[in-house]
Amino acid sequence: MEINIYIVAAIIAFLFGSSLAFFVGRNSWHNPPRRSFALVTQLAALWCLFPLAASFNYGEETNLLLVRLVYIPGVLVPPFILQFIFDVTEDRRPTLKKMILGPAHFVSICFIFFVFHPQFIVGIKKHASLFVFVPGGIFHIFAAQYILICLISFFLLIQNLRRVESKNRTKLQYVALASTIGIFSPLFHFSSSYFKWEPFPHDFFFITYSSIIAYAVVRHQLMDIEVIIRRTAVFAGLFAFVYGTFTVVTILGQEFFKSTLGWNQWTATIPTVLIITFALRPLEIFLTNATEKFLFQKKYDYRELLKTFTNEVLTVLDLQKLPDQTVAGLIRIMKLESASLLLYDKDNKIYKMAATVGAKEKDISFKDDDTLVRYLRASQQAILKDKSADKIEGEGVLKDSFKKLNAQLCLPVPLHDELIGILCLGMKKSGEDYTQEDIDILTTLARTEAIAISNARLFDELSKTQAEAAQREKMAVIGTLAAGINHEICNPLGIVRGQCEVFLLNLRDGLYREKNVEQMIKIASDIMNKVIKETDRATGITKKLSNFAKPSQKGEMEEVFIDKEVDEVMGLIGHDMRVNNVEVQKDFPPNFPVIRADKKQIQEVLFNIIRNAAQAMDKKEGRIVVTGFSENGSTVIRIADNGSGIPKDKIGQIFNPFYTTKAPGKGTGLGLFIVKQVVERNKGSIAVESEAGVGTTFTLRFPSMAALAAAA
Amino acid sequence: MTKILTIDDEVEFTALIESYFSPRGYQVFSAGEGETGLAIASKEKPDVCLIDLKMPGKHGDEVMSEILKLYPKTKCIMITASEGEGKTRAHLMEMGAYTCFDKPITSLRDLEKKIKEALDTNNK
Repeated sequence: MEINIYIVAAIIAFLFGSSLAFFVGRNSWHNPPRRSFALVTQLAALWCLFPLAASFNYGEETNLLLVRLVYIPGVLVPPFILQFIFDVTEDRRPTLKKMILGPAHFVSICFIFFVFHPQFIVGIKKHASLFVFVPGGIFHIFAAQYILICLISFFLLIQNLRRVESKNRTKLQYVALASTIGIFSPLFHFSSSYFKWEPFPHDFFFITYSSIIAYAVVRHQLMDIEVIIRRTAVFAGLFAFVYGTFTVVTILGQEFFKSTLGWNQWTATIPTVLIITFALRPLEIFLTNATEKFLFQKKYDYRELLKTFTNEVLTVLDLQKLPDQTVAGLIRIMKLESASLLLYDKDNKIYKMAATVGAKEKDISFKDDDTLVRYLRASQQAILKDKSADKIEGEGVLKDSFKKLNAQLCLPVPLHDELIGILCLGMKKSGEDYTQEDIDILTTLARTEAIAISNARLFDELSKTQAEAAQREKMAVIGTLAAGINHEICNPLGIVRGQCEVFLLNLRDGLYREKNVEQMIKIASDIMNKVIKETDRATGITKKLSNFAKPSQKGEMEEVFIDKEVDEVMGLIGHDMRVNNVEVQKDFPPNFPVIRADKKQIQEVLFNIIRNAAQAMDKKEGRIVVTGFSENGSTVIRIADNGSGIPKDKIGQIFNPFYTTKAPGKGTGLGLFIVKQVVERNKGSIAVESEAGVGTTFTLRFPSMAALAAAA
Repeated sequence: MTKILTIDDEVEFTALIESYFSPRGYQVFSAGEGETGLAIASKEKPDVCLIDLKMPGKHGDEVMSEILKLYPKTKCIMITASEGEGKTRAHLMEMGAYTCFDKPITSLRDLEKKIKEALDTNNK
């Protein structure tokens, strides 16, 4: 047998077509378009072997038999082309389908019986290097039937192209393009026999057809088998290389070894085997990479998507911002037309829209028993509108939800088997479909999103708890102050009122009857003096209180006289201390250095420490000594009490938030935590020493003005 | 003559009580804290004691129980701040207080009525 380009093309077409058919058809018998594609491709691949069958050296009779055998799948091709077009376009005209497909299949089965009839293929002739067959009368009918079916298929395809949505149209355009090219394969094959004219091996058209379909499968999820195609592409490339090397090197080598060197012509196979052995593995790696790079280029972007998304979006802790950023991020990175995130509202038991761009109904929500929710919860799997949605019960309701969300893909956002949200993605702006790989990546992303949401929720709750605790702390402070307020404001007012009442009652009861004018004026002035004194007392404490309560201006640093601030604080809680038999001693040297700090915050610190000390007092006669001195350029304030002290094992915890030794409900555990924060904010430090039963000493250190000036 | 003893760390308060009750025929004694109060009480045997609950040094409830130990017939009226309601009030009554009166006093007439009422129960 003389190897020529027609035979090479035939073998490549057969192998490429067969492997494509095998990979598409494998495990896919339930899927009509895949099944019919696999069948039509396999049948056509066998038909492609015609040039090989015709060129064996077994004699004309045998070759004729082989050619006729090759024609058995050949005659079956036309009805399966039709079948494939009906399936891939999802044409929903059952009557038309039956009317066309039935007769087509019937006719092709009839042709099987006529394949061996001498009037089908009369004989084989060699025309230059090309083997052609002599068509008989029956063959003319077959060819006419073939062309008619091709025309019907094109007509159906074009009809359906107008009907379908834009994204499905892309797929069908590929089918149309592939089929247009593919049809030249039999047409050239026919022309070679009828007109002895085949300018180009017709099997190459079939290879092109298969390649385009394979490309559409990969890029547009034509039949959802891209992973397989990837392997097919590599396999086909490897095969082409092996076969090409073998053909070229052996054929050329035969001449060289035989004619020039005079060796046995089979010696030529040795370099071939060597080349193949050494080049195969690198080639396989190259092909795998090339396939990844050119056909699956998008996936690189998705790695980027995961990275960007994880860095930009999932670190957001603000529960209000997280959904918005998620949606915006997906839209931007994946170039989507729409995206929405629904989150579960536990109180109302609904999935509520948390953020959306491009949804038709912005306020949509789904109840617990909604079809979409039930499916996502039960399956924990994504729903693709055009694929999986068809197989779910309640398809109508589901499609309606997809429509309202303007979504193509809905993914569960699961956290510990609980469906905490739904991520809905619209069409890609490119019109491309979601591939299985997209879904895999997005599923991972949805899970990460769930963790981010959970984190944001925890953070939100923690902030609320902290805010509540801070509020309780404030109330505790107010509680302490209330006693002082009562003593310092209500009592003076009570005295004022009482003095006036005494005067009026004495007047009414005639007790002043014997008093002369001078005596009366004396009585009245005494009362008025008391009234003035008492109102001044009340006003004083009001001023102190309002000063204390006034929030400090952020970063308002000023010169603070600590000894004066101790007095201010004592003005507020002094009575409370006296009543509880706690004596406060102040020991500040004259010219005690001022510090630079936020005055309000320093008051807060002193208030908290002195109040704490008074509350921890278990002795009949409590004593708190506040001392001030300078040490190593620092201004030191020491507040020492003779209270119950802090046990050694607890001392490390006293500055921790929410740590309290007080009875439940009595302390918030925030007092000293706040003190530490505030001291540090004012560039100071705080230390504590304590001995159970002896007392506790807090030492505050602030940089002196000189040290601050030097640092500046 | 009815003897009233006021024990309160607030001088203005004891002065007020004095200025009302003295002209009305009561003999009023004042003390600024518990110990002084007890000393006066043991000397003068007052009929009625007005005792501030919250005082530095000895607290009002202690002072009251000591006075009642000495002179069980003395009527002790405890002067409480507004927080002296509920538990504290019930506790004081249990300890033997005749009644509790909230500070600041809104009506001296009412206080006088209460004192008269207390003295009446003694005479019965």
